[in-house]
Amino acid sequence: MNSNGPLMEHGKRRVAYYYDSNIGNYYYGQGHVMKPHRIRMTHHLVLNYGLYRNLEIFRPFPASFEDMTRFHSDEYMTFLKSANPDNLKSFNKQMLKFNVGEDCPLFDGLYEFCQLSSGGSLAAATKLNKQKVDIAINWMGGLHHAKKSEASGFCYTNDIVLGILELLKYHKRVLYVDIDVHHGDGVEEAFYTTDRVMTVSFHKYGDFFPGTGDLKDIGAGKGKLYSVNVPLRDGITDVSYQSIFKPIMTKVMERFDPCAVVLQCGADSLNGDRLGPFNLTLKGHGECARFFRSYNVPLMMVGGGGYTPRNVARCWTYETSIAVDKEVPNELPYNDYFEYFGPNYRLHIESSNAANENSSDMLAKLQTDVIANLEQLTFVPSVQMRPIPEDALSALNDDSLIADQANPDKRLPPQITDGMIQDDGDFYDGEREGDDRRNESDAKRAAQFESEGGEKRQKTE
Amino acid sequence: MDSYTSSDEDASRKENISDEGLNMLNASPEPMEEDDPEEQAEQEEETSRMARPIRSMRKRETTSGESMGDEDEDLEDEEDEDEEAEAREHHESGAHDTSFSNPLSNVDNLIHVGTEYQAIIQPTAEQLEKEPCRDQQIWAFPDEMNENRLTEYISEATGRYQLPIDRALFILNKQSNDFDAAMVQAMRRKEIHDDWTAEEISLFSTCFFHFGKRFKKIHAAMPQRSLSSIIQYYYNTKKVQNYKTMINVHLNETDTYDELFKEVNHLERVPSGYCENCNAKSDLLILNRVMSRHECKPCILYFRLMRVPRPASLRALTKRRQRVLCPEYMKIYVYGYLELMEPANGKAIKRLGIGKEKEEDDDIMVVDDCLLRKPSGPYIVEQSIEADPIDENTCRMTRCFDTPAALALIDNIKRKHHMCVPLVWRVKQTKCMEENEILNEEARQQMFRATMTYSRVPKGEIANWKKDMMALKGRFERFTPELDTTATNGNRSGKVRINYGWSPEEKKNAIRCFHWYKDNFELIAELMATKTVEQIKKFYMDNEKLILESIDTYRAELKSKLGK
Repeated sequence: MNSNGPLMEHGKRRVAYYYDSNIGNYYYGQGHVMKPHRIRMTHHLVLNYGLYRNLEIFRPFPASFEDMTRFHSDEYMTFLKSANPDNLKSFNKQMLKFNVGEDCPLFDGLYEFCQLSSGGSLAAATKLNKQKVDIAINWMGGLHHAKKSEASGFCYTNDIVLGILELLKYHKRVLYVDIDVHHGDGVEEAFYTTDRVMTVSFHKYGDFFPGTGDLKDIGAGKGKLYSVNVPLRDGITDVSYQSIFKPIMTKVMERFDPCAVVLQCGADSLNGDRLGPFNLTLKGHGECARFFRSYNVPLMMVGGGGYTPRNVARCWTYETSIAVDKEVPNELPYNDYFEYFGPNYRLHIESSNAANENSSDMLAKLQTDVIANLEQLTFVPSVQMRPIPEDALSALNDDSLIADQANPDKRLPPQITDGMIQDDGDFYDGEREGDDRRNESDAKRAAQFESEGGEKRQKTE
Repeated sequence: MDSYTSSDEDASRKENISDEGLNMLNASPEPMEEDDPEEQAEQEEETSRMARPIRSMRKRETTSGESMGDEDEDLEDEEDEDEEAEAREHHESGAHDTSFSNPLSNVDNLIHVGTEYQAIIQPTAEQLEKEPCRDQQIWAFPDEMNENRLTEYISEATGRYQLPIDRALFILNKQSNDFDAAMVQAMRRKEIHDDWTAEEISLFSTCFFHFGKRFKKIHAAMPQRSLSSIIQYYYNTKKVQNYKTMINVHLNETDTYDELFKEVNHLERVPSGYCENCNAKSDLLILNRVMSRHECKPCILYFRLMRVPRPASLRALTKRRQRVLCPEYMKIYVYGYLELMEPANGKAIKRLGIGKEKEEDDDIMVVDDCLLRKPSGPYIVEQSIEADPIDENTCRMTRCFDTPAALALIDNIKRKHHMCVPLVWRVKQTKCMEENEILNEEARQQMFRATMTYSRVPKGEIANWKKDMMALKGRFERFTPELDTTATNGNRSGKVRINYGWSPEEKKNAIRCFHWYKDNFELIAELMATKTVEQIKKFYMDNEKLILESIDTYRAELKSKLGK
């Protein structure tokens, strides 16, 4: 098997992180469980843990109407763009048609909210396409229920589908993995009949939203066997989750051999979620992220569900730390929303002693069924491709060429240095390292700065 | 065991798919597996429900009515992400509580196949498109970064300059990681602190009490704040304020605000103008019957809710206080005034070459001769420190008093009288005082000269002057105060009130004016001040005969007088 299976870390992964500071100020409405504020809480934790030292932070441009209609129907997007709580009455019919109103309320700034979450995933996918980064994170995205022309389950536009479509421009096969407690029906439906995208979803099934995601749903037409559903029961723990996740995903990686992976990290599968009945902790949830990180494939991590904001923030912060491979202490750093994390102010959460309704027998059966399906797959589907034409101006776009041709006496141009991240093996990064081998000009500059700073301080005081 | 399907469900799905016109599905039905009977029954019920409206599958048949109701309750009763215990309770009950596990509605539990549902995938990489740039870089950790300096910089920027970390990083990145430059930038960068004033906070609390987390409505009550600012404020203070205790218990029973809104929307409206309560320009004014005035929407909603007019302190917030710039042409006067208020330097005296030569005695001379204020004993005038020395029972003396000669004189007085010498304060002389003094001095001198020359002037000539003066005087006397066009004729605002009746006094005056100016109505109106041109014209027309007669007699009289 020519699998590029789990690899040892042999180099730092470059990580891009997408965030827009406006996202926390959208409000679904009184009493609605979906709170975009959790993304801001996550952001504050990520920054205050100092994880920015290993990240590149980007602010995505909002997705345009055209961007979003690459998946969604024009009619639906026009509706989202034009409807707002004030002219709601004139859209009564369409609201019913597009399922906007009940779970998916029309709130102020809805369209901008969609633009931001979709923009983040599109930008992340573009970044991966350009191979500027190895991992791209967009906690604003992950709205996996949205259909082509229908809102569903607090999701209006499906940023994941848009992101995958973008990835498909340059990647033959894309794997989508969904560890949200709800079934990723929107994404599965969008790629139900293609063999270029495999969707794998681990979710609670049985009298639970959205009602889809039966083991027997395996795709249709050309996409048959390319939709994998792992229906689970209440109260699943870290150990039993991993006992089924790892074998199945290893098999998927082996048989499907994706060129890029999109991981939906819905945090409602954690213990204590207001909607999800699972019993996972950050460790079990984060293990899934760690699993894909160990493969050497471009990885896009998006958010998703999660209805206990403090746990969502904890979970996604922890998963960001996994993406950059940095240990973070259990004590939470002080931040603007520190009070939300009381009473223990720790990163990790405990599991509860709720009954695990997933017996090991049942899981084993499930596993064999899923793997049996996977075994039927034609080994690594080939994709008909046209030859990629030579890029006429490749020299202009190639960063390494710019670096090679740059004047060695001068500093590298910023477009290169900006993208560089400190290497773990780099020992020459600062004064604290080694003996007093500071170079003269640096020392002077530091001294100058101090004195200048001192003067300025006096002035300002 | 876990395949919750039955063969008829499968059939229904198949039918559905073929219904969509796509016959590519050739999945053989999976072998049916055993299921616990209860669920089986439920499943069957559900499938039968699904199977019936196959053709109208997209018609949003709600899955179940009662689950919807439950869900609403559930959402209302949310509020509690805080209590761990409650969360666990939810969690534990979640397994059995259908309402909880099914919080979402309107889904027909099927994955659909068809162009209406699937994404359209373009063939891969036909050409290397020029990808649009989709993001803006905020921060990247460069390879040559001094971590200590970074930590120092971040703590400085976030601690001292109160910048959020990401903004500090952005500045550093924009300065191409030059700490010195970034620090300078950070220092200059004024973080726009979204500070809330005490009034706003209390209004927010009141609104929150009434509306709960309906931020749109809170926003309507405080339109000067953006919606996102309000939401952010809520989240920032949520854990500190404990809003839950503030929420009105009646919140869920009736929404008074909605009714209010409906009511307000039906009120009498005036297109646009200024609100009579807050003076803000508004497109829509609504009549407030209680106060009988037109108010803008925020004001009227506030009134309806609180039963008091929207307070002025809140209005002041919304208005930006404008400082009026001094017009250019007024600046000369202001500068002139300022110049005159400067301390006197004696230059004016020199320039004009008039006025008395300064003598030392002047320094302690008292100019004010108000007997009441004048101390009875000997006194010394001192330079005042206070701005308003008159309050201190003083005279208005002028010049500085610090010459050695003056001091010697004071000593002298003190010694002579062997007693406590009362001090009299005086103001430091300003240029204005100096110039006034010069003018007075000049006038005095001219008077003096006039009296000196009086004896030498031929008497006849003086008699002529006197006669002229008398003539002039007489001419002035003809101007009665009512006819005077100075401000005395107007009211305090400087405007003259036009009245419509003709008082006998006015009639008399008017006739006198006609004597002098005949039919120059504009001039007469100006002189009369209380009448318009039209009124005077009418008066003239009405009484033309009489007036003309009167003029004739006046002229004849004048002629006979002059003739003499």
